[in-house]
Amino acid sequence: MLETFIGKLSNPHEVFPYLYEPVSQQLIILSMFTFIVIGGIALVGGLTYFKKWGYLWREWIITVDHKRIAVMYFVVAFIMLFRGFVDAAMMRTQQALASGDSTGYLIPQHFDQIFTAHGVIMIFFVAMPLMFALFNIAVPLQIGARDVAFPFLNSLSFWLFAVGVILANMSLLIGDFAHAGWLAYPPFSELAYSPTVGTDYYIWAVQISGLGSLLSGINFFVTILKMRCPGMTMMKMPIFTWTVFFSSILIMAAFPVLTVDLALLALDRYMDMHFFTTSYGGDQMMYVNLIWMWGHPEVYILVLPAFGIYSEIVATFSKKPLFGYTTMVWASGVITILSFLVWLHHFFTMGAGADVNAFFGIMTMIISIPTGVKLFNWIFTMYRGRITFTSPMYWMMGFFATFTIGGMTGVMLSVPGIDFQAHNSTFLVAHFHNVIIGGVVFGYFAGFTYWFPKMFGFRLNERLGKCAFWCWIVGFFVAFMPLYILGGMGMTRRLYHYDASTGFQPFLIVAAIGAAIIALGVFFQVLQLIVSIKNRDKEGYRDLTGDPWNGRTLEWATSSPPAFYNFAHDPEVNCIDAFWYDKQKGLDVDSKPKIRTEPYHDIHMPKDTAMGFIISVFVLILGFAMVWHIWWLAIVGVICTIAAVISRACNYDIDYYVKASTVEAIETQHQQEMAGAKI
Amino acid sequence: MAKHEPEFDVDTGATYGTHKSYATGFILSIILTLTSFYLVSTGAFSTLHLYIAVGVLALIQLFVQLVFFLHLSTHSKASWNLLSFLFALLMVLIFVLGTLWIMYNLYVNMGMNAMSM
Amino acid sequence: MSATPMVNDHHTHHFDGSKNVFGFWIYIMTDCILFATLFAVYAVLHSHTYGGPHGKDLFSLPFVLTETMILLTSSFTYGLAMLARNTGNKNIIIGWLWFTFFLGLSFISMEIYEFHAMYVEGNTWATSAFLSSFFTLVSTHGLHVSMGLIWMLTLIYQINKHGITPVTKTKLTCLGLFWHFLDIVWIFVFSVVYLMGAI
Repeated sequence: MLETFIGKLSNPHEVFPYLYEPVSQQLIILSMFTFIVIGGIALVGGLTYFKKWGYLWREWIITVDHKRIAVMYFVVAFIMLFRGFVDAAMMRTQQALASGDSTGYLIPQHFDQIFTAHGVIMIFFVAMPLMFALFNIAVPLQIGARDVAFPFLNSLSFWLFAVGVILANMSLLIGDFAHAGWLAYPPFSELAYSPTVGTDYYIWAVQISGLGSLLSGINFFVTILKMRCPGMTMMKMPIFTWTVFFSSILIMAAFPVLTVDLALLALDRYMDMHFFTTSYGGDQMMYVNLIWMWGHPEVYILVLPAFGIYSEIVATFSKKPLFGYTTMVWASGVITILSFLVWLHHFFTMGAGADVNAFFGIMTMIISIPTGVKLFNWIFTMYRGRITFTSPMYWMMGFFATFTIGGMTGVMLSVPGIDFQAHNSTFLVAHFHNVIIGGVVFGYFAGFTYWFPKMFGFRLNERLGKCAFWCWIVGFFVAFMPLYILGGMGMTRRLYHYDASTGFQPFLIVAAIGAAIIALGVFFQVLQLIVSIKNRDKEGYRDLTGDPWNGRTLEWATSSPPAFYNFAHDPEVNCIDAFWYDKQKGLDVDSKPKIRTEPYHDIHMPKDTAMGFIISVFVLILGFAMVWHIWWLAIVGVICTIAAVISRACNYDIDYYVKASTVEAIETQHQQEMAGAKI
Repeated sequence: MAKHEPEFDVDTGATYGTHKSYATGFILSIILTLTSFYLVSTGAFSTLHLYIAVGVLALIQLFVQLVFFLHLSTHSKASWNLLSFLFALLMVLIFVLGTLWIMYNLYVNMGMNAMSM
Repeated sequence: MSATPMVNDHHTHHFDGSKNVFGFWIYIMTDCILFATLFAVYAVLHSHTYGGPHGKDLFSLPFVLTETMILLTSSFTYGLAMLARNTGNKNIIIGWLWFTFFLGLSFISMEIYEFHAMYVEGNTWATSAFLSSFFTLVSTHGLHVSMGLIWMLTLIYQINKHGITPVTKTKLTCLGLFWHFLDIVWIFVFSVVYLMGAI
């Protein structure tokens, strides 16, 4: 009876699994609870005490402004980075301890959930939002647009992503999380072997945030194709915009596959279907095949924008045009296509024939060629440049070394014979951390530092940024080089406990020390934020010109932070890096006398709307109800979601005009600030 | 299919057909559907040839509907529509053929008989 | 993004639907890949019957042919609704939309009838991997058609309220793309699932 109303919530074993676990585990859970409760009280209390609820609602929750959405993505991504990092630290400690007689301090079911959560969170809730944050902050400004093509959709994407984050983290408080690894391979993730709500949390969290990603992909694709300012042909676009363009294409082609694969797994679990079960004709390799059809392009979805960031940074700080712009574009294009032809290298060992394995092995080796082209282009850009060694540049140089090593081990793994040995070992773990941390994470940190002044109007502390960089890169090598060796020694990934005679322990202790050094790097990043925010009005931090790095692309032609409409007048460009050449000729776009005398016009802008938030709340209700098998609530969730979408569709009052006088006031103030800064 | 200059609607940027083009598409689609149906229900060819015939007729109908109902054209104003369609088509081919190749290769190599699964 | 027109009180005058139509076309391309994935799954699993019935034992081709004809006709009548957009008479559009709506509704009803008949005979989605993939592929299409029907109702309401404006015309065009696209997907369902299944 009770089950009809509250589904699986009626079963205390499901809701509070930790009540039935050893005291040592309960203490860990308790400290986590305390942390979350204190954090929650501090947040809610702070918002209430400073009367910021209205501000939060008006300025952030209902906003459709791409710059604010970018900031929200950053905030969530950094909170999730913290959580994912705690997971990593727990794994490293467990493995450093659990040798011989000791079984470490975690029980297996916790360890399994931790490594699953670490992977899911780091990819879906850290890397993806960091990427969308960078898309949002840079792309519309770089192409001289007032916003993205579909601002409301942008807000909806963010909130759907937030729903995914909430669902994944809700598993900390009630129920458990998936324990089948970050890609939830069946048959282990099937109901027969994973009967708890953990896998359902995984499915709905990833599915819903994946929907948000797909919508973002469409949005940025259309934005780049249809919203460029006059004169900016495709081959005059900044290179970051190009990589976002290709990344969007990858998102649009790959994410539907993920949607289908997870939906089929859900149908197996919820409807007793037999896609991937061990009987009734199901085939789990079909799942693995589909998940990597998405999974491999996903790697390039993440890394292409990072390549774009490096390209912007290397040109800006070498004060030279990017070497080989055209080859850079084509290399990205080739990577885009090739990334769809390599997915089988993730499961060489499944038993396919030599012909299949050879084809995908060779395609994998080929894909390293365009990446190599890019590396040489960056090096040639730096060659004879007048390089300023700022912290974004540090991240970039760190990337050179780290990513190259990661790429090399990747080519090693692309040989099926080697892969048969290294498959599922820590060699693989070391390889993909090598490319994801060295390529993606360093790139996003560089981009964050680079565009931070654009978002907030002040620079980050350089010194602390460099400290963070050194800790990250040293910590990275100390943490992951031992894993290569361990992989060679035969250590499998996701190992909970090992025999003392294996000799793994010394290496794992070194790896744990590496994680501690990275933790120090994270500490410096937090310190950097605090120090910079404290000193934001001081000389060396405040950016009055809007162009703190002497940049080359259009985003630096606006004030920092830009007015909500971005550009008072549509910019016009006639070449790559037009802004840079204008500055060289003394024709700074904003201080250009000709433009200043031009009258301001009314600007057409989208209205803020709470509908993205409201729809997502209903989707959250739906997801929660599905996870806990509360069928009536799920139906309510579906109906409310559809009703909300219809009400949005029937609302025709979605835009307005900014008065020319308002624009003039804002622009005049910015020009005065600029004039003050130049003195 | 006379390729006259398509007209782009000023508000939607899309092209629409005429009564004639819709009717042509409709009639062609019906003919193609009935042909496939007829071939299969009478068992006109051998199994393999039937598979090929049904597949080819479906692809022709895809083309007919793309041209007459969706008005996909090679006009430069709509080049991104065409390009994105071609790219999607490439992806569809890679995913479908790749999956079939991989899975059947697996079954053959592992000595699995699909029928008994 | 265009700051050129300066007419304050004519918001619709400003509306440029080409971005929306193009964006929707791109969405359809992603949907195309979604269906392709389902087709790939069906193609692999269609022989995994686990001793249960094959497609040949289950499908009634004349019934499905009727469904196909209904959906084809609905695509045509939708086209007629779109052709009426410049007549200035919203009632013609609404009339054809209702016509299309009822054709779509009959299609869905027939599909539900077919599924129900299979279900009561004991051939459910839990019988074998083949039937799981059959029900999933066909009902994903059916779900899309159902969403299209709901959309059509809201569009009828909007055109009735606002008349033929650039905004409603854009929405009419987007739904048209969706509807024709679903027709194409159905052609492949009909050919690959039903016809090839019956060979």
